[in-house]
Amino acid sequence: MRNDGQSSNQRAIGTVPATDEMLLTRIATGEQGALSELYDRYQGLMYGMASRITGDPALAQDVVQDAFIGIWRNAARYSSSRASARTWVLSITHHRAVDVIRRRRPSSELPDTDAPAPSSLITPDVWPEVSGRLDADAVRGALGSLPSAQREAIELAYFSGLTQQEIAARTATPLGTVKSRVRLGLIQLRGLLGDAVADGVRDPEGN
Amino acid sequence: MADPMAASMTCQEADDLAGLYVLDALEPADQALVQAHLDSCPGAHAAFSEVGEVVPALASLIEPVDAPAALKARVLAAIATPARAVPAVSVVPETSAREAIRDEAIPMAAYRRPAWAQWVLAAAAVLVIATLGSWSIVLQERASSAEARAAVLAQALTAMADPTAQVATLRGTADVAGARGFAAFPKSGPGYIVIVGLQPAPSGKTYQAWYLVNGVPTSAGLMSVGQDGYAVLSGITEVDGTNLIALTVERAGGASQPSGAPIVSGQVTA
Repeated sequence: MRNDGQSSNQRAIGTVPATDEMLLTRIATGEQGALSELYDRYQGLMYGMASRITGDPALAQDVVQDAFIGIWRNAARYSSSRASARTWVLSITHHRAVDVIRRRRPSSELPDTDAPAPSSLITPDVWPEVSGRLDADAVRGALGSLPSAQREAIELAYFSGLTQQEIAARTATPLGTVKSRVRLGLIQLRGLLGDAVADGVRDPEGN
Repeated sequence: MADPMAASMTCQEADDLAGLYVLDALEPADQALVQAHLDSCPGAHAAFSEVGEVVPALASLIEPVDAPAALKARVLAAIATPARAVPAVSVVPETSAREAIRDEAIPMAAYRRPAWAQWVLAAAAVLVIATLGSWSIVLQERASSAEARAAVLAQALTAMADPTAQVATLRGTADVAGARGFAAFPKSGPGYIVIVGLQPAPSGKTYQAWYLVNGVPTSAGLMSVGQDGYAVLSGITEVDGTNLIALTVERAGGASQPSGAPIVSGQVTA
């Protein structure tokens, strides 16, 4: 269904910038120009996330490439009622990044691959949208006010890409404790972020 | 709930793992169990949305970093390749590549084919065979990766055998004398560079491939050595008039110009 004439028409109409969600719809129809536009919007966030998790610029680029291939192939499965485009795109990137570093580990027999992994894209796309752009300082503050063991477990999991077992080994903590720290920490974080998460609106100064 | 894997985890057990699940921090086997449970369980599992809602907030702490400019072309080239569908358990691409390579009726292809190409093909076949008989989601996930890898290698070999292709046999220089590979650019369809015998790039470095047109380099993309020992660049298009393919070691992230002598190179012939 790729049709260059159609895609240039669609671009020509666009005097109003397309929303990310509209871009994903166009990507689902095979419009490469829409993916190019999504790339321009998200490459910085995706590369920043991939770099932080992999700690390796070459791997981070592989992650971003893999993530875009995943987006290209799975855009039709995206549902705006379940997550914003931003959340979806970043969850794919996160998933690919942890996948890449886990495959790289010596204990793993998984083949590394420059090739796309067609069916392995299982995004944890089960939560509703948090539409408000949360202020990073507010999030940092909330994270900082968690008990340090909970914060550490969450950070090792999300920002360092460690698994439950790796976190347990790193922190000399039983597996079950890691499990409950992560879950309780996230629940507490949700409470601390309060209305910001629940309503998707944040106005910390009350203006 | 007919799936025995779903039965092996209760709703409570799944909910207990919700935090680790939404952070992508479960071991692959646990991840598969939770996923199987969620896929088959009629329950609401509010525990997952409860913690999942926090993940976008964590994502907001990620500082954006601009990717190297060359990455965009690489991404767009990758999605433009026709390799959209790799069948779930298929050896068709591998088989057809083997037939193409073995076809004595294509003397040009046979002439161009380096002897070790057969070995690459055999390795690709092993990857596919090793993935047959997978029984769990985790194994299927692994299988699809291995298959995708095997399919790309098979496609690269098919490209190499294409009589219309511009090809180069690549050899390592003294430092990496064991490295060898090929580049193939069919008239229509994606091009490939495949190199074996390289160590992974040193920390903070990357391999970068170049098209040279009368000595003027243009980046073909960054290459990294996979766990299977291959460095593969797929879905690329050569610059018009390319007469040499070269590989250099560059700072991680890549360079706009090669900073040193090629460690692998080969003349492009029609």
